[in-house]
Amino acid sequence: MSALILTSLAGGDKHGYALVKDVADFSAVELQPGTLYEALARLERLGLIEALASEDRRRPYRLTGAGAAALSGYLATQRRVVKVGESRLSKGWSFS
Amino acid sequence: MRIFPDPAKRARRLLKLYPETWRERYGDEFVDFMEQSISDDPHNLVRTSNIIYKGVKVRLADLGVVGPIGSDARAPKVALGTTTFLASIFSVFALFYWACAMVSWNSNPRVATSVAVSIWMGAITVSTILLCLTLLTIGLTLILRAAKVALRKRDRRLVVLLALVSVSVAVIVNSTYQYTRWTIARGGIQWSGAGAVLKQVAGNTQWVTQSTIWGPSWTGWHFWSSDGPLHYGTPLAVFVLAISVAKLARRVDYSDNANRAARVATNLLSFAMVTFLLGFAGWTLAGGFTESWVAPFTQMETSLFLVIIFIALLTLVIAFKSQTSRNAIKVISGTTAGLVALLAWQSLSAPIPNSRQDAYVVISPLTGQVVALGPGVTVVVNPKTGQIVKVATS
Repeated sequence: MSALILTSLAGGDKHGYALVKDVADFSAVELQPGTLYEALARLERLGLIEALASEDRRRPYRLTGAGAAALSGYLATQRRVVKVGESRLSKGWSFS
Repeated sequence: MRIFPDPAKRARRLLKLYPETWRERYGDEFVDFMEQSISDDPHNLVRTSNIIYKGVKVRLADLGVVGPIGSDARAPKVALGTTTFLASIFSVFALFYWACAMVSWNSNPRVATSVAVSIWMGAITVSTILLCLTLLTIGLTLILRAAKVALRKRDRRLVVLLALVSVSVAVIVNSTYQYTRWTIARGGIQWSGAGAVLKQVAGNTQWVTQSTIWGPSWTGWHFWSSDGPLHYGTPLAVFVLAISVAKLARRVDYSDNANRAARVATNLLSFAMVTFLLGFAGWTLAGGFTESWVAPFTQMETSLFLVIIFIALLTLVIAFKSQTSRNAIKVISGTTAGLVALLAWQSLSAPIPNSRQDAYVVISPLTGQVVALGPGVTVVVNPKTGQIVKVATS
């Protein structure tokens, strides 16, 4: 969940609803409001994102340097997992 | 007629599921989010369920029960508020169980109470006094501080809380009067010895707390009867008082010194609760019940003991979380308390050898006839009048 939000914010600042739409577009995951705000509060507390000044009622969020580093580390791990998984599947499995 | 109100109204209604501190921070953006979400997809049960679940979770976190308490600045307030509430409820049960133990202590004319039971009785008494004094100090300090702030800043919420505290205290004092008629003040107390004084105080405490805990469930005292408001009002007043003082703890501003005092008070409350449980476990294991003339607890009284064990452990968890650094000794003492509490539960659940549970006589209040008789009990009835002449145990 956190990785999805950080990935979305890596593409630019977004408020809650725009973030949910973006995550649904690139991952087909539908974030529910309660889950989204729980994750936003946690990521803000950890210093991985920051809330910007409110535009009317909407408050955009921005990825911080620490958030970008955390996302980068997470993606590197995922890339290794993907690589190992694909290499093992290619040796013993075939998909038509 | 529209079954569902407009999105803005529905969004604001859903926002109320979250606590005030959360609403202050996320309220506007959440309402904006929900207005758009409801406009796009008006009826979504998964979305509503998710908000209800997360709202409850945030509320529990706001009380310090689950998850991180929040900022370090708020932690002492949250911990003090929640532990004060829990300790207030705990204290009613603690006073009841202390009174039961005190009434039964040294009550068997045939067997003198052992030193071990007497020492554990002392431990229970000291921890009960410590718990009540700490609660009283916290309550009075918060009420005085809140009254000062309410007068200076004209804070209406504080005024409402202070009014609730006053009304609930008045109800509790009146109930205590109704139950005891201030027996001690009328000279009924036997000043000939400290033991007799303690027994009388314990007897009154047992009656008041027992009526508070079980009052509403007693048969014949329906809400609309003349005694109804008394028996339903007392537990309600205890609950309202506990929650009002806890709310005061969260609303009143603290200085740095007061923050430190709040941490100490939280620790003292959890310490008193744990030592009470340890003391009671020790008293039971040392044979407190078997040495007394008083019958062991009923199943209901034993089951409710689990409730206060749970409250004490919850308080320990909250007290730990409000600390900036975890202390190994505290964690070990918490675990030990849990284990001893379990031992006590085992001990209370097991049948007690040589108990006098079997020596009973049940007489119908309507007919005056003996309806049940325990083994080893002899009842002599006058054949002409049907009245009981003598009851004897073998």
